[in-house]
Amino acid sequence: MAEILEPDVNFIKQIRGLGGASLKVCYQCATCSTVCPLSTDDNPFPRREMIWAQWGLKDRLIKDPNIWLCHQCNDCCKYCPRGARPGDVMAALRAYCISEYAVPKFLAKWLQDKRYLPVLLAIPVIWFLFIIAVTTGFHIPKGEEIDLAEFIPVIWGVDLTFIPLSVLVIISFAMSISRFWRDMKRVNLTPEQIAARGGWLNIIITPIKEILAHQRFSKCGVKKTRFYFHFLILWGFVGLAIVTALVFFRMDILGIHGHISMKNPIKWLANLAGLSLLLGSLILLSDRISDKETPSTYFDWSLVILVLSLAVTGFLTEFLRLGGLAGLACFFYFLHLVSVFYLIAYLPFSKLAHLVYRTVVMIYERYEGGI
Amino acid sequence: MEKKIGVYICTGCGIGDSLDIERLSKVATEEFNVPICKTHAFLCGEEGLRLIKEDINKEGVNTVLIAGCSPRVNWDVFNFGTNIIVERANIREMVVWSHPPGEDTQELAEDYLRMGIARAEKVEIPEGYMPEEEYNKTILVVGGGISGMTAALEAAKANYQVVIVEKQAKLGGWAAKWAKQFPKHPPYQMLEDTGISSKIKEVEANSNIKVYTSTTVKKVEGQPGAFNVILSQNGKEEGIKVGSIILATGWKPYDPTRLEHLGYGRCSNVITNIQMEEMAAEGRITRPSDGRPAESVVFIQCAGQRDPEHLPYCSSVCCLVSLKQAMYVRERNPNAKVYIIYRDMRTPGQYEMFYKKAQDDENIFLTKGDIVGVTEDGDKSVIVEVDNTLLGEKISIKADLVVLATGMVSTLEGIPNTIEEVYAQYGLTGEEEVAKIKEVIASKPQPWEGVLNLDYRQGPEVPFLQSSSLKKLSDFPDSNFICFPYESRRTGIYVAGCVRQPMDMDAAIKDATGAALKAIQCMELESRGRTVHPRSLDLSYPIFFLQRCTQCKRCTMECPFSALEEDEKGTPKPNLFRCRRCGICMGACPERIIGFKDYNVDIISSMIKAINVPYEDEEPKFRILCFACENDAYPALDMAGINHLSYDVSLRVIPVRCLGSVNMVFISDALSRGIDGILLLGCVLGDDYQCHFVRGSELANYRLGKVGETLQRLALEAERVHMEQVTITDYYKLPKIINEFVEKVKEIGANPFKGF
Repeated sequence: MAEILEPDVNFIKQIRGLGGASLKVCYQCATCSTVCPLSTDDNPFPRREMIWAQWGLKDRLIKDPNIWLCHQCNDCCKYCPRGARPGDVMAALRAYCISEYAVPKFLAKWLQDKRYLPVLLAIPVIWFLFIIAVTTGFHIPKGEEIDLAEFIPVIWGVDLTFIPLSVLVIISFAMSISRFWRDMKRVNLTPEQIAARGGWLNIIITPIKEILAHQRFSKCGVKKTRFYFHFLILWGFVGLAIVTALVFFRMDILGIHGHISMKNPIKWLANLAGLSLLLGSLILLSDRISDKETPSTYFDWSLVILVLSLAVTGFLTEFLRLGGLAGLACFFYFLHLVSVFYLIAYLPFSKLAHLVYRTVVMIYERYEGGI
Repeated sequence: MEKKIGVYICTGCGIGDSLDIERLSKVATEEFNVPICKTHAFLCGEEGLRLIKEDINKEGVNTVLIAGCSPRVNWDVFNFGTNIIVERANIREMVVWSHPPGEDTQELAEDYLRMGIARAEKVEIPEGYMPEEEYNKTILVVGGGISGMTAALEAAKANYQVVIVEKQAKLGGWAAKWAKQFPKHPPYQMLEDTGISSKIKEVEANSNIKVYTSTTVKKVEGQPGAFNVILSQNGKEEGIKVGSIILATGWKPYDPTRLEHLGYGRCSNVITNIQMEEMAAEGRITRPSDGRPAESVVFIQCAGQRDPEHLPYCSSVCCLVSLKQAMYVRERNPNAKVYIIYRDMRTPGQYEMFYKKAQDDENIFLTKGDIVGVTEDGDKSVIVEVDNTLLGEKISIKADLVVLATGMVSTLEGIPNTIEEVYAQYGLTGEEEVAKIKEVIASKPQPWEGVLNLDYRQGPEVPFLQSSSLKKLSDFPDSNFICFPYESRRTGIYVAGCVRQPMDMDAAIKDATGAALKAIQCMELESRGRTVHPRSLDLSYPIFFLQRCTQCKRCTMECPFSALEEDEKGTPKPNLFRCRRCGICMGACPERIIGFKDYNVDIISSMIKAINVPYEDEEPKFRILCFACENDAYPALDMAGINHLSYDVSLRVIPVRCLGSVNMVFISDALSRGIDGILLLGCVLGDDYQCHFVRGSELANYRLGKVGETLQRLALEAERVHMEQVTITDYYKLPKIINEFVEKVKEIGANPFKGF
């Protein structure tokens, strides 16, 4: 006899709350599977995931790699005759999955509940206020060349904040992803099979190349704009990550302190990446506002606002510093650091965690199928 | 009546351009010596009509033959009062619009004119069949459920006297047992009150309605306008007289004891949707085993339905019933889980909104699937095993309660409705002597409980749908489901509600309203000497020249409406208010003693004889006769003309009321006259028949099978006679059908009887 099913009604309620309100009205016509580029004969995506969700089959869904392969092009939402919006349900499932695998779990709950926003913001605010108080004592730098390190020392405010934070984030991700991988894994490859797939290096590198090139996004039918903003934001982050690494090298290894000249190629890259982030987040914002059909949850909005604030506070700090308005420059630098803290510390719990989950699933896809 | 024929040839609509009108006129004036023959370019116009009217008034013309457009058009224009016979020769649609000008087309037009004049000479004005005694206009409604009560109220509102006969002690039927009904108002999401109690009050308060409860119909004899009905109320009999009958006895649930494979009878917590509804009406949803509230309920759809082993059809309401009952469960218990295992969810029309609403409930789970096992657990819970689910796997569900969505069965099911079935009930074959049969039947009480118990020659109930071989195809009364749903094969008896087709309350209300209208129409038409659907308003009726009857019983057996009873010897006794004027008896009679004043064997034979069959030519000119049913085939031929589709010019068309009225004597008459082939165009026959008289084209097909012998005696090929089934929309296929048949006849060669 087959296993006795026990639908998890609480799970259904949570998915509905995370932007999948329409999930129950799906009547399984499979129009979504017909239009979805991910769907195959033996994998009727997202039709089958929809009924799993309707039946509250949480265990099947959280380890389902398909929900992560979906790039929410929303062709399914456009063609669904019932208004069940499968694409949005998949997004809600992803949000659920992030909180399900999060370590520690309570942080994920906080990230999905706007009541905890003050707490989440208070942590970096208090931290940086504390740092400033004990180091410079709120000293506003003066002179022609404003050095913000005089307001917050780099070693305390940046290095000793973000390096330990990153380590914690990596540990958190490692714990989440190893559980996720175990749950997701349906096959165990022999070393020969792995070699046949070009070895682990190839299994890992190929999907990353694909992600950087945005090959799957370019297949989206309904939402062309997704390609642009996602491309700009991702490359913005990549550029800023490189800049951060270079600055770290220059400062902490080479020991060159002070702001980098505008003529320096590192500064060019930083501004270009920042511009890319700003432009991308603005397109994303206008897309969210103009799209009346797709429900946007707090979980979605918080990421949009975060990315935008990163770019805006970054540029404002730079311009104000160059313009000699030291007080304001310090203020926005403070906000910028809070934003960066929010971004990095809460990465495994926010919507941005898809960066890791989706990459892992795409790696798994190659691992399992060798595609 | 001394006839004075006037022939009027219209030259409009292209007729004058294609034909030699002078030559055509000579057919009337020289061949037939018609006293008046005139031509006009616009006969249906004011001036043309004045021309005819002047001849009627001044010249004493009383029989007008219009050679021009089809009889299907302008029949209202060419109406000169009840005393003037108007005949039509269709030389527009069937001649000039479907054939290019030329000698052959000229001959075709001349033949149509000859047939028209031959007919005009023989036709008499029908005067209508008037009742001998006063035509009773009371309506008997059998069944006091939602359909019966609606029909009664609708008829009563139109000021007709109505008698409702209800078997149960109270009015209301099944609907009175329901807790709620499906949403009927926007936004079609909330269950509604059935409203049945206010309907019962309305019926009881209506002074035009007399209600008999705890009463059954013991016997119905007679005919519309004069049905003698014997009612039986608690063993007490009462005779009443009614004009028409509405049969609304509704449905019974499918026998669940046959659903053991779904756990019924085997597991104590497996019930039917009827039991569920009764529980809900009592205000509880509990497990029968221990009376504990049901926390999880599984609905199994199509239980014993859409299954050749059980009911082969869909009862159309069970999906909605289960959704409704799922709502009952959810309203009573906020934590209860409801599972619906369906084959296809069928929620037509606005009910889709209700389906969507039910689906949106977090605790209602639906999937398509096949039930592979229903077993009982230790604590009397039921484990339902489902395969081929949409979840992509085989699943098991543990339920406190399993509800089987069983279907609707007509209350006529299992009741003998043909005379053969009646004989079988008494152990008779029907071959016995009449006196013996009567004796056996009188000797013991009726072994079954009938519904109408008609004292009709062909059987005691309205007939079911039959296949060509008279095999019963369903347990529902035969009617055309699309075109005339309320008709039964018993004139004056109309069928409404679930007794004729599973339906929901809304549909039953519409159905009952329609049936009430049909019953009223029947009584109003017949009391004026006119016939009912489908020849509504026709004044003609069959006349039987019984002195020459040989008691062969073909007419009494073949009449689709059991209009003819028999006396002891087997001589037909017509009940003309049961008759629909199709002429199937006329086609059946080997003695040719049945006919109508304007449609009989003599008229048709004269028309056949009027066709000019040339034989002198070395190259023989073929002549093909076509009998076309007036209902579909003839209009289709007209439409072919309207669309200027061309077909073989040798075809001569005679319209007939029904192919069933084609007497086989027409075939031998035509062939012995030298006609080369005969094509019968009639309605579709078989399970999906479209014959307006139910069995006409079926019978024509059957008789043609027998005519082969006659042809062999004449040393003629059986292939010269052919029947085709056409629907009205098949007009574009007609040229191919006709030309292929003509080609086949040409291959066989000319009729050797030409010139004899």
